Amino acid sequence: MNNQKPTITLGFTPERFPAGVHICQIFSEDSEREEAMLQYLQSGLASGERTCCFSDKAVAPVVEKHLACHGVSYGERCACGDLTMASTKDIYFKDDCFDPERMLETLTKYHEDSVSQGYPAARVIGEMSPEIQHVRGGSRLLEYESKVSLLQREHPVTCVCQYDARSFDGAMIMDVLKVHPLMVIRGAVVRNPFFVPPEEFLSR
Amino acid sequence: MSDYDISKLRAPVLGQLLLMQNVLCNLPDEQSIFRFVCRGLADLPGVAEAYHSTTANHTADATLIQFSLQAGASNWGDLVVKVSDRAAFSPYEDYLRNFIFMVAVILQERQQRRLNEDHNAQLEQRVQDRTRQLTSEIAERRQLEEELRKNRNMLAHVLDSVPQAVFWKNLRGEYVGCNQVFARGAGVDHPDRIIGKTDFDLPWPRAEAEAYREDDRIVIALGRPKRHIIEPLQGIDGARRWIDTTKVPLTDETGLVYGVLGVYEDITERREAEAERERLQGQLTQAQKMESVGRLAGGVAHDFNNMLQAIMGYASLALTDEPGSDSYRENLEEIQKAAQRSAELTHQLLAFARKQTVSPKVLDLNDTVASMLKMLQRLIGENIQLSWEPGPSLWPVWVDPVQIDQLLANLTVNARDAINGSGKIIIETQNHTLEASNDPLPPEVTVGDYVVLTVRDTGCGMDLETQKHLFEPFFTTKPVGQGTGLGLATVYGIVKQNHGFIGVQSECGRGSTFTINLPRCQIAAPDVAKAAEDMAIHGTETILLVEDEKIILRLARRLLEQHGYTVLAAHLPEEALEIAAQFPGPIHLLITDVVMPGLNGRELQPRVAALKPGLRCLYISGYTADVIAKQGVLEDGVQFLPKPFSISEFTQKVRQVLDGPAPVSGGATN
Repeated sequence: MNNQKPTITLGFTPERFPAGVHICQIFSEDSEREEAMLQYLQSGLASGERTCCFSDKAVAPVVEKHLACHGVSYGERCACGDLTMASTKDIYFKDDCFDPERMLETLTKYHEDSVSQGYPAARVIGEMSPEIQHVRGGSRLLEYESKVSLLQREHPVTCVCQYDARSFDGAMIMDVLKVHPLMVIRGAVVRNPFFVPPEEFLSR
Repeated sequence: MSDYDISKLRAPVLGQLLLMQNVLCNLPDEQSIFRFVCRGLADLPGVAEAYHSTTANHTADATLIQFSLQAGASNWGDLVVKVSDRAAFSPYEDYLRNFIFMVAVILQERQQRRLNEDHNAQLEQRVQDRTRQLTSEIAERRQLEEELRKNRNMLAHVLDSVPQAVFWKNLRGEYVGCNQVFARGAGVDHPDRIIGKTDFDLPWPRAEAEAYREDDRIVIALGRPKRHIIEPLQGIDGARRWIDTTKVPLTDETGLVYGVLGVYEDITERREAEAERERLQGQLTQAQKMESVGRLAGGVAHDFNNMLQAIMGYASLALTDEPGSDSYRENLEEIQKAAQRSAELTHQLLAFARKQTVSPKVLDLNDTVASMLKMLQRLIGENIQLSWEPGPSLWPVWVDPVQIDQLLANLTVNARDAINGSGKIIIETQNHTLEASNDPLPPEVTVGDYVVLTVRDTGCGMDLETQKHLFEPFFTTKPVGQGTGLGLATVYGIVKQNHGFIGVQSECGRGSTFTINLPRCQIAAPDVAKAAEDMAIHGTETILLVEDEKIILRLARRLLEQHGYTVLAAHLPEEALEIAAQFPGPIHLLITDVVMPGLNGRELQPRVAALKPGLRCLYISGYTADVIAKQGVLEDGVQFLPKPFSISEFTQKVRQVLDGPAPVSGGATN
């Protein structure tokens, strides 16, 4: 396993981070979510990273238009596998069940494939659907998020998790904060003082 | 703010508080914020748990620390922190209090923002609602205005389309509106220009404007229409027109009169046309009458020649007889009879032919018809039998006897022409009361008492088509040159003029029956004969007799003298004046011919009267009525005796004039 993590930009600020960081964004306006998503995707593609987006919103046309403005062909990037657009529901809730292990495997495989295909890094951005609170296995969300941080140590796939503060209870939001070491606040990436290392979190 | 030693605070803890402050702004509601914050506060050093409370007072429990969520007047209760390690927590207490105050401030701002947003939304909604309402009201008002405009245009169009002039005024007599026809007549170029004007502002004479205004006042005062006011109107070209105006009061929904609406029609041409039609009708009627006279004349001439033959023959015989002998007297009596019959003939002929205005009288139709029978028999000829069946106790009628003559002559001539060869004409009279029945009466017929005159013949009859046009002027079934087509039209006109109605029944080959219904007159017919019998015929007054025909002059003088009068005879008007001037005594009566050489009778009378105040006058003449009328002799109050007359007629008339009312001052008439 390659422990030499490359540094990357997340697209929000010029600041560089080692690949494989786990970030959350708590938003309350769609424009905020969309802006972060576009910056992140465009930055990844610009860096030659394999880039993936999970969202149930009709984001593809928005992404295509945004990339086009930066001289990037959405169609070509999708065709060659640089860019993957997928539905949150299809990815997270396959068979109407949230299975953290399956998701972790998916992330692992995604990273491994990316590396094997020669991508310098791989990144994922996904908006967590509030449906997670009602599907089978949904209660394991925080466990999953925490394990992502563990996984990234071996498979440094950079992850941005978007949570809509309007769709989750405040207590849940606080819990989400505790499993993400970094946060995007007002366009800036900050260390999360509430973050609980996965070993400690998972041991509770 | 309480003092606190920042050096004792751990940076991550402060970071947590700052992060919470940032993140909580994204949370949608207060409860979510409280749960978020409480969950975060639980991570603070020395804190076991934290929760939100709105009611409980936790000051009794030393492990609980209350942090008030209050900002200004807004209060969301408390955040209660259960402290498990007081020492660890203490450094953060004041900081936390500030933090929670900031949370309260954030909540207050959010609350204020929401209030503002709600307020704005309400305002926006009210603006939208009001805008929608106004838009709807404006659209509705525009639609109403459009409908009003259309209605107004349609009304104006309707008013301008009617051929009559229409106008309306307020109570002050000011015009409020009119149509185009009225505007043109009033000399204004548009109906709107009439508004505010009065009749005195328009181009008609002041007297007429005052008359119009007076009519308005009457209509307004009585609150009732005034119809068919026939009045003059002066147009803007100065031409005088005749108009037929109807005015009605304008009332509001409570019945209060607020103006007057008028409609007038220019009837000048109609009046002229009616006058012309009457003139033509008169000419045609006269022509038709003369046609009948012509027919009559043939028969009369035959009889008249017979009478003349008798007079001449008996006169010759008398001249050869011994005066005073029986044969002498018999010859004279035959002459008298023949002359009497001749007089009747000429009288009838003249009566029929004379052109005079309608002069209705109370008549007994039986008497009138009976007096016509001889003439009618001559009209229809000897082959046709004339049967007269008078009804008993006939009611009187109010008709000009000449019109009855005309009516009977036309019907009998018509019946005669319908009879081929020999046949019969029956004339009947009877009373008839027309009562209301289930069968609707023709519009011109009213219920009541009628005297029915029926003329029935045994002629060829008429088909329905002919009956349909029977009373139309110039309609005739006779060959060209044999009929004017005016006979039955004249009959129809006479009947209508006398408020009667006419019916006809006929079938081809089964004869015709004309039924004339004349309204009953409530005044009884005078018994002329009895009145004549009662009248005295003698007198002793002095009479100035003027007659240019010497035979008549001698005859009249002898007759008057035989009846006791003193007679001053003159055969010329000048001579009469001379006699009157020289005669010392009073002259009570002037009997004068009308048409004479030099002065006529009408001119002579005032000059004699000037010499002899209190003079009465009696005109005599053999001329037809129309000629006499031109001399002014037929005017009311003027005494006239047509020639020929019998002795009794003459003496009775003289006595009547002498016993009648005295002439007015100056003695202009009798």
